[in-house]
Amino acid sequence: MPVPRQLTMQKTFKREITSLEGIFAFIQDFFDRERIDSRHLYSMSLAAEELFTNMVKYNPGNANDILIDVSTAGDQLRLTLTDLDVDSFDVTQARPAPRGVPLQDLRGGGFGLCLVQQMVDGMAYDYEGRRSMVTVTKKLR
Amino acid sequence: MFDIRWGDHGEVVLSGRWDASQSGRAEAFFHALSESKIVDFSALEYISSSGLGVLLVAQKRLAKSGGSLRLVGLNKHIADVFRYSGLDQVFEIG
Repeated sequence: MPVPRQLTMQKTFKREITSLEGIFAFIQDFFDRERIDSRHLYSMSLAAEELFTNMVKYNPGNANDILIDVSTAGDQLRLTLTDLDVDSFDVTQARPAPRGVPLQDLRGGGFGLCLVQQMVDGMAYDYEGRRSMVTVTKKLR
Repeated sequence: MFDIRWGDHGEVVLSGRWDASQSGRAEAFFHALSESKIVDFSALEYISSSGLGVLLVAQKRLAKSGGSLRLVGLNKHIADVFRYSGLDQVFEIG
């Protein structure tokens, strides 16, 4: 039985919002190299942005860079962000869209994880030894 | 490259990619609005939750004086973002 082809690219990014441009370019580069259908690019770019900006926002004083790993395995695209020396924050907890909430009661933030949860096919969180690892997956077929 | 500017007919025209690193400029632009406006998304390729937050704050502020933002020209991905966030119920879209 043939072993599914698996390819990985990884890179670290400084913990600042201005890193986003480089993150988008990194993901685009992976799509180009692996000839991945561009219809998946929006959801993976958005997942990377929302997860990365959360890490920046909630641990601004942390000096560690954030590792981003993107890979394919069989018909699955996988994006993993790893953050070191942080408290646990389970991003997989359900965050439903605030439907039916009156306009003036809606908050201006908090949509990021709600979007990610709906735009990817799988989401996993692992926390061990103050290392936080978030993985999202997307089926390519 | 993200851009926000006035269109020829008084509409707000967005273009490029609106990610979290661009929201400061957009926030200042929308904060200056005092009446209802059409926002043209035709040339906008990407928006994230950061942009949604800016638009929502502007919509809430305008609603207090009877105003609103109407969003036009959304591509499929951006329309999905509004639908998944539930904000398709907050803005007039189309």
